[in-house]
Amino acid sequence: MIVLEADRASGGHRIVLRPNGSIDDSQMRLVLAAMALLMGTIGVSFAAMGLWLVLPFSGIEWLLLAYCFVLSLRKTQVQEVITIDRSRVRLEVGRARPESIYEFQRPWVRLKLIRSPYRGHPSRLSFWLRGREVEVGGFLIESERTELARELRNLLGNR
Amino acid sequence: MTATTHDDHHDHGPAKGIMRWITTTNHKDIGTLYMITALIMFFVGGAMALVIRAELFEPGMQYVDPLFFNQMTTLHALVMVFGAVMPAFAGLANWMIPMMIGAPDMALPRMNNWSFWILPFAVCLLASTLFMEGGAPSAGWTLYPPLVLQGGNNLPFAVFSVHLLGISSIMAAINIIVTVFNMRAPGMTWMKLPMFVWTWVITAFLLIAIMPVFAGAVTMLLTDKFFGTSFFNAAGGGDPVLYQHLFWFFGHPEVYVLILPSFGVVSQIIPTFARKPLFGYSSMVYATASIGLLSFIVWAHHQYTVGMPIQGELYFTYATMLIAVPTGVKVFNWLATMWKGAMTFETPMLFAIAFVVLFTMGGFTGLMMSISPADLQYHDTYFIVAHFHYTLVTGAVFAILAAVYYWLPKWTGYMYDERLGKLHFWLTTISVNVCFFPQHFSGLAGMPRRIPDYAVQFAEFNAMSSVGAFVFGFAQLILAYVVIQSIRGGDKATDEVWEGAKEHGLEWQLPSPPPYHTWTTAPDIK
Repeated sequence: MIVLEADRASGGHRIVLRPNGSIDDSQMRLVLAAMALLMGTIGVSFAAMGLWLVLPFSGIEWLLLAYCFVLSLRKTQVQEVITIDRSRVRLEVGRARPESIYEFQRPWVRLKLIRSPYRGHPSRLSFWLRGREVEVGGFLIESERTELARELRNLLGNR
Repeated sequence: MTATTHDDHHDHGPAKGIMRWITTTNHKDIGTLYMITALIMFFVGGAMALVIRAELFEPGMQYVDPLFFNQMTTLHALVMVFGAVMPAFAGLANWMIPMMIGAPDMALPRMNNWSFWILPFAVCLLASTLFMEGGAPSAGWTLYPPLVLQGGNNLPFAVFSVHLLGISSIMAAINIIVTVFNMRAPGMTWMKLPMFVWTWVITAFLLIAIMPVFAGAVTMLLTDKFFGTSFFNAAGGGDPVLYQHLFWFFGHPEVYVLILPSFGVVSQIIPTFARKPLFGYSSMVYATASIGLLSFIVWAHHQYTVGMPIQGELYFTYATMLIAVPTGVKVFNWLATMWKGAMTFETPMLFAIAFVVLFTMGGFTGLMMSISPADLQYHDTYFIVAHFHYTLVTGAVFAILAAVYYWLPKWTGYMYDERLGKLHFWLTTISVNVCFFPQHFSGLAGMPRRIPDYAVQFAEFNAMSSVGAFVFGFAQLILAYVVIQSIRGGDKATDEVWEGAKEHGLEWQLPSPPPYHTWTTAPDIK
């Protein structure tokens, strides 16, 4: 997903990139709550009849389900933020906060889009400056990456 | 400096040698491993069935003693349910779900590797009980106490094996749920999901809900035997009937775990060969969900004979009959899909049509058994054996066979031998009916199940069944040959494989065979 924002005060632009994830945190919580209700009802009902050994297995299984959901969602919560102002291009990569930051001087940075020779394989878009290369939007789908490349070329002046 | 924000290993193919298969996290490799294991287990469980049928070919004791006979009936069921049918569907899910939803792999690939590799160890552990003092478990797949507690040393091994099989299934189910929820390609909304994916998601939720019940039940058997508890021991204040409630609370939805993905497979195949979209897609989705929900509230129809209040019998009778409604919706939708379609009858379609006809027969006998006063007559007879084999063999196994023929050219890149496929279909379909149809009559005449000897009045029907079983068993060697032949080569399959298939799923847009990594960039879904 690509979100483009223009900053009128500084005359700069900000592009936020996020990978595809088909559910968000609130939907995940809803699924987990529904499963907790179902599995809890079954486990507690049997425990009430004296068959308490079902309940720990239900609990362990629910925890595993929750852990797997969280793990999968974390992978889709990565985001890349590209900030372009008059003098520099800044790329921040992270989840809730930037974990890696790359900066390039705007006049010199180049944009490279390399198409894969293999059918069905993704192209590769990167910022390039004096042998230093940083891939951007690796998680986007092909049409989004092409759109991003077009947008960046416009903003950087067809480079 | 060169920095990348994601890995750039897209172009790497599989590793070489045995380590590829042991360490693989690729969904296609793991799908293949599941399918091969399921095929081997199908032959192992089938060989056990042939021991049973050889003994029952004529009245009197011929080849095995009664204890070994009971071990065979128990292991045959456990191996077929947990070692063959469930892994086969897990294999199909692994191969097909990521390709169908436009995901590059399963959400948790390492867990996927674990969930497969636990399986062969669990099955070997179960099989090892055959060589222990007192032999394998012989109380039937239900493992009812107190009988199961009176066996030899096998109980802890059988219970541990069941736990491992359960862990394997749970991990596969969780992986499928997380994958479908979080890794659908942009535009792949819920109501655009292929029916096979829908049925698997509902199956996965069922599995997660019921597995703790079974795990708890078998653990309580263990504590009753070794730690002095009395959950199911009447002398200590427990109740063996409680175990039956626990078991069937798991066991009845488990039957739907085996059959719902079959519905999904058939819902993929029939539209392709009828060259029409699936009739009533949304009603199919809701019917599947209804069947899943109803499966939780009908368990005690397996226990009418234990002594139940009349209100209980009435409730379970009506609740069970209700299942016929969504199932009927499905059957009529398949028929409506075929109606005025430009049908062709390749092997997958033949198996799918046979599924619709024969599974419906199994459904009708199920309806007969749902009526509690009538069930008192059928209970524990061969009528029950005939019923559940019509649902699980001509139901689940036929759907798996249909799926294998349908997707085999996509997997291998080569067309299978259609002539051999049709031979396999006809031999299988005729022999399965020769095997199981007479069992309705022997059951109605009163022949009890799980016995190694019987009254001479049942001799003809049993001889027929045994002949059918042996032909059915050996006919499956054709399947193994066709699969091996298709892996080794043959006519090149196109990407679409079946005429017009591209309209019926994303998997047909990929090359045949698909590259090791597919949808490394998600497809655009219209």
